[in-house]
Amino acid sequence: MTRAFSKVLAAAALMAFAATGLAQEENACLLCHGEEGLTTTAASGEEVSIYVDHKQYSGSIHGGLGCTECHLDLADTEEMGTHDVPVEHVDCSVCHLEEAEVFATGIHGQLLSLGDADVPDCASCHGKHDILPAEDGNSLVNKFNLMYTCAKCHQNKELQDKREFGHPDALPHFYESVHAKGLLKDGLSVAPSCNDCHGFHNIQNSSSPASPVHRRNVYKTCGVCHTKVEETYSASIHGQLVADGDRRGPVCTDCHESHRIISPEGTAYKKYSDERCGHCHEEQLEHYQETFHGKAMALGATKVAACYDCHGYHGITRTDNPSSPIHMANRVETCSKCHEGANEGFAGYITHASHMDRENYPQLFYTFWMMTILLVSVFLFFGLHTLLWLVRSVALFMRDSKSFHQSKVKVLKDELIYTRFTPIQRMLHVWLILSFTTLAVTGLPLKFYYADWSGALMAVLGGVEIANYLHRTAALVLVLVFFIHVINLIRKFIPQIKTIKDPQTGKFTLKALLDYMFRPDSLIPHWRDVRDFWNHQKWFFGRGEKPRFERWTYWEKFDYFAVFWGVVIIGGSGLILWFPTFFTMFLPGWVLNVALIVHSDEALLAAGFIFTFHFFNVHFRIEKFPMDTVVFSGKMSRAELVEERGQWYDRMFNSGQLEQLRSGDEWDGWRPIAKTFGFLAFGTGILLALGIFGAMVVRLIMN
Amino acid sequence: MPITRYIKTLSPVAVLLLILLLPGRSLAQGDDICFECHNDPEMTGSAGDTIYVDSERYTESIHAQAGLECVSCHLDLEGFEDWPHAERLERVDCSMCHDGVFDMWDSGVHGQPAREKGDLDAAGCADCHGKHYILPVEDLGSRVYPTNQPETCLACHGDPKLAGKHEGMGSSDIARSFIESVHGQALKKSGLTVSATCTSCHGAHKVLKLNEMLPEIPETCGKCHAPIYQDYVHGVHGEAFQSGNLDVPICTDCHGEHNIRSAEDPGSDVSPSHVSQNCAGCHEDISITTKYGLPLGRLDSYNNTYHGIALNLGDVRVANCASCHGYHNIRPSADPESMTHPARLAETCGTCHPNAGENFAEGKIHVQGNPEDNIGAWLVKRVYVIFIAGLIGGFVAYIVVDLLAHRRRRRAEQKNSNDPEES
Amino acid sequence: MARLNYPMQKRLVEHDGRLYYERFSRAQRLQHLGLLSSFTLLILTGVPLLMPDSWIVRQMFWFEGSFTLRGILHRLAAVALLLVSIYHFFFCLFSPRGNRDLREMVPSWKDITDIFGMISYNLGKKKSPPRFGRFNFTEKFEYYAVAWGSVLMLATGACLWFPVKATILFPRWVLDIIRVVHGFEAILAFLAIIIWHMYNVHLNPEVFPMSRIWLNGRMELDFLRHHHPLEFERLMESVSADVAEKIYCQLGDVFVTDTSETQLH
Repeated sequence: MTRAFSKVLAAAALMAFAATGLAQEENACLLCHGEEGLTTTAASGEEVSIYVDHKQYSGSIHGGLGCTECHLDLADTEEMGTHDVPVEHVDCSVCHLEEAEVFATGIHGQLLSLGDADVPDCASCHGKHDILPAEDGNSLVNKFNLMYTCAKCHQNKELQDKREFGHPDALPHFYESVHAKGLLKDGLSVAPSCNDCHGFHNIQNSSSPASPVHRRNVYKTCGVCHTKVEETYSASIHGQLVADGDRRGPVCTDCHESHRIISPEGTAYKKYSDERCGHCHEEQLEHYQETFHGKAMALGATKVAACYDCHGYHGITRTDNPSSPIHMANRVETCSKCHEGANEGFAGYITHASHMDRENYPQLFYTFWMMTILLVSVFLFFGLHTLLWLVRSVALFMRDSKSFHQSKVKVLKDELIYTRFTPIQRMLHVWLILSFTTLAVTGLPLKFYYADWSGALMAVLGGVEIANYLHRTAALVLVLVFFIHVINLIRKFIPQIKTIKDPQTGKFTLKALLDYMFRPDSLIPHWRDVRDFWNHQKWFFGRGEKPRFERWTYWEKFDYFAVFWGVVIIGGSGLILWFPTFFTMFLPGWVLNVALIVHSDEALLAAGFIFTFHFFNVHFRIEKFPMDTVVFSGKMSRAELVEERGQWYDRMFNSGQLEQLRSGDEWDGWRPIAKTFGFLAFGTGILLALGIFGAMVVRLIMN
Repeated sequence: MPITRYIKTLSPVAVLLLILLLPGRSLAQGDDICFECHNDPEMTGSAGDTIYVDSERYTESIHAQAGLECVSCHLDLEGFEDWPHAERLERVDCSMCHDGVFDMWDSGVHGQPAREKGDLDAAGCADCHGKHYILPVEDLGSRVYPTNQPETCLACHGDPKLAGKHEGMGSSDIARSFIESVHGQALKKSGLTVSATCTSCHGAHKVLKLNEMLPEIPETCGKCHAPIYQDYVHGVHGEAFQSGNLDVPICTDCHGEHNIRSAEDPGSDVSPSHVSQNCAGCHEDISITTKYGLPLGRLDSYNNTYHGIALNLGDVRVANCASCHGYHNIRPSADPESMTHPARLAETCGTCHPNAGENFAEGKIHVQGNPEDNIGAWLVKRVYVIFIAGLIGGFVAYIVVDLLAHRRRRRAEQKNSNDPEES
Repeated sequence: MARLNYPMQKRLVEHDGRLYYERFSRAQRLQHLGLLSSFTLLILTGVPLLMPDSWIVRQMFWFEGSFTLRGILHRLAAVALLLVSIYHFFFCLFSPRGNRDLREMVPSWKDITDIFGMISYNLGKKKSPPRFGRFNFTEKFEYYAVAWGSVLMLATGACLWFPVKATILFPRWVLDIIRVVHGFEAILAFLAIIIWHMYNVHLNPEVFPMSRIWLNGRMELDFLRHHHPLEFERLMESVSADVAEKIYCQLGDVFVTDTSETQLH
């Protein structure tokens, strides 16, 4: 009996020993693999770590499993310390069959089964000994961490170059997106991570019809969260195109980009969206950019209409569809979103106008060509005139530079000074310069929005809105200058009324009035000017003497009346553009288009003329270079008078009025102007002083 | 022929059989009788309320799709023959089939508590789900689909008359402000169903009262804003809240409840332009600061600094409370992980002032002009005030004397010129 | 240095047939204009920080970015002030005019006694006011006040503009003191200008409504004789006899050539 018992005992002891041996098996692996710094040389020649952090492993989701439950090939390892290397690849499908099957259908799985070494397997994404459930915040595949896991390959420069990924910037773009912001900044677990759009085990290439991000599927993928949008989009014309398989139809990623999805509420998106629409609708974009909206948008304005502000965005339908915001019945409401008080006339504005289209937009066509012809003729005429003058002057200078110098010296050194412009005239001219230049600087970038300098200039000004404000202020100043000048003229005219009478009868006659109007001092053009012009031309060609001009030369008269013309034309059209809703109450909408063409081209004419011909007359003429200061100082020397305005000088001399023009004490002229400036500064100071006193007293008392 | 006779006799039977056996896309047989009257759009009860039931819409509803008849719910009309039936039918008892959900509703604020108070306005099943056209929740047309819930709930909660009648409902403005909130806009404007809708926070059937909801609020918000919830519970406010302190702010105290806006929205209570006022709500409250021994005058001292002045004058880029103290995981300065711990201050300042060294963070930040805060500044200020007062006083005195002297001399001159004989 | 001598006669100028004392050359007037504009702009953009809660200030910053614009303008004006100061520094050292005027600015005991002298005169205790040279004590005081103020404001302002670089040298709480200094020095400078300087050049009955010297640089010889008699005497000493005669003629004095004839001009 004892024999059998002892055998049983022995067997039990053996089994116990074997059992402890089995339990020790896990510890056996760790005897070596638990040592930090344990490495081996991989097939590629690299040193790889084969250290397993036991603490980490037991904290992982597989922590309850023994080593050999995954490393099946090592189950028979008899002795400690040796096993075959390399160890066989762990087959996760032993337990996770379903996921493995799905994975095999995906692109990673398919490439892997073909032996591709770059593609991730289970361990590449989930980890090996540190696998945590996806809901755990530390898991490599938790949605807040997933992008960094994907980035290991998809943001790896070498791999990118080697495998030629379709979207090498996908991850950096994603980080800029509103989705990434929601995830990483706002900590929103409902925001999408890589898996929400691409799937996780069955990721397909986007060109595969099975992929959730294939063109025909992507709106459904987006629609999982953006359900309302999916509904609206499906009913829209774009959605219908896509549903019909039409390749022209845009899908979500065409307008929103696949990864760098930025919030459409922002201003950056607005400008970008125009370009996206224009990608297909090129002509409309071009015509849109010819309108104020387009130009301002191109220059960085934010509060202007982009394509979607009028056409809608997800639910875009044809114009004749009653639900379209640009259907005739809905237009006023659409315009009113920004333009309070818009009416039917205002909505008649031609939004995508082409002034080259004679059939559809004849009013724009003819206006444009009229203005162009005007511009071209003026520039040709004066260009020629200036050129001839320049050539003549240079020829004179080169022929006899000594006498040229002498006359210039004489002009500058002559001590007898006469007044040509009164202080008010000088001041008005200064303000004219300031306002005109401001108008040009703030307005021309809009006209030439496509030039590099426009964007830079707009940025310096502080943006389109500020330029707008400055432009209108300057316009008011210029109009004010105009009115002050006119009032001044009237003021000076009124005392003269008594003198307008027929020398014989002493009565007021029309002839006397005409004589007064066309008197030599007047700026109104006269036959004399035609004569002067003709003689001037003859002199250009060396066929005559340089004419002796009266007080106002023909080019000065032209300059003068050009301003009148400009104020009326540019000011009038500008006023229409400033208050479009008011003017379209009684004018049709296309008047706004016409006003824009007129304003823009006339302004170009004015600015161009001033900056070229006027500047030639007063700056670049050899005799005047670098600047004719008469309009600022108001003074001309006698020598200059004789040479430049000989006839005026003679007339004054003969009539004995010359002495009246003699310049007096310079300070007297400056007096009203300098005083104004001084007292302005003084007044500001006093107000500030009062403010400071009050604030200081209050604070000292309170403390 | 006998076959034709069979066919003739049997065909109506066959037809009848076919109708009976056809899948139930059509009305259940018994419903025909009901719809004979109730299919009339103009039909109303004595009170003028409509009792029209659109049979097409009804067929699409989930109950009709499930094969239910009118009398499956209107039990008191089963087997009824004595048409027309009584004006008022018995109330339909949904708990017959939906008993679990019914119990949940009953334990919530719309259920038994309302009944006990005699409140007849409280929402019942039909008030939210509808009566005859109920669709599954996942259906876009359902009254309880996430993007449609605001309208459904606001039918009562947005009605000022009802809100005035029932104290517990809160102001109707508050409920209606949800539409303008970031959650409401995401739902209505962007059509994002993942956004929080009424039931996400209040629960669908077991709607709780505010004081019952309170302890759960951070966790509720944390359902979607998970990492933020984690930050919060590790911060000083979160830890205190979890130990039962109700004075500390929870999510809704800073962000608002229904009118939550994005932190970048200038109208939000946690936007740069408002956050300091928000924090001041507790940190400038004398009862709270004394109760917890918090330092006083935080907002005041902040407004004295350049940051405070600039912020109040419209520059939102400058540092506000949250820039330095953090927002969700605020910790006391003594905590080494706190953004305002002395060892980490230079780093915190460095987020806006690059390369800020250790010197940059030295010295008290919240100064109020006391000598303890910065004795140098206090002294210099006093010296300047005295000096300025003295100097300007001296100027004024000199000027007054000068002017008086001028006047005196001018008078004397005039007197002299009037009497030229006097020398 | 001999090269840096600026003879007295150069200060006598003619304009429109009259003789004047040129008190400020064009360079000096331009420097003053630069100082005036930058100072005004600095005050306008700086004072709002001292009274941020007031109604006026709130109206000033009504549009977005206005506060940032304020900051940019303030710093631009400060740079302008710095440039004017540097120019002035070199002007005083190296230009003959500047050099001579700087020497006249050096304070002396006479200035102290002049203060008491002037006050006594104003109080009626003395019969005649003290006799001032080119620059009287008020002008010297103003000059040094501006110099001191500019240096202090530029230095403290630089520390506040570049706090990170400044705190390399000292801890941050020193910046708090610097901020107090900057603010109060600004108030001091502003009050000094608005009260003292404005009195001297506008409200003083002698010059009311405004002395024009800062615009054209010229001082009437009459005024010079009355208010800066020592300078006038130096001027008269430096000019030739016929020029002196012309001056006296202009002043309306009786000029006695010899005892027999009296010529009245």
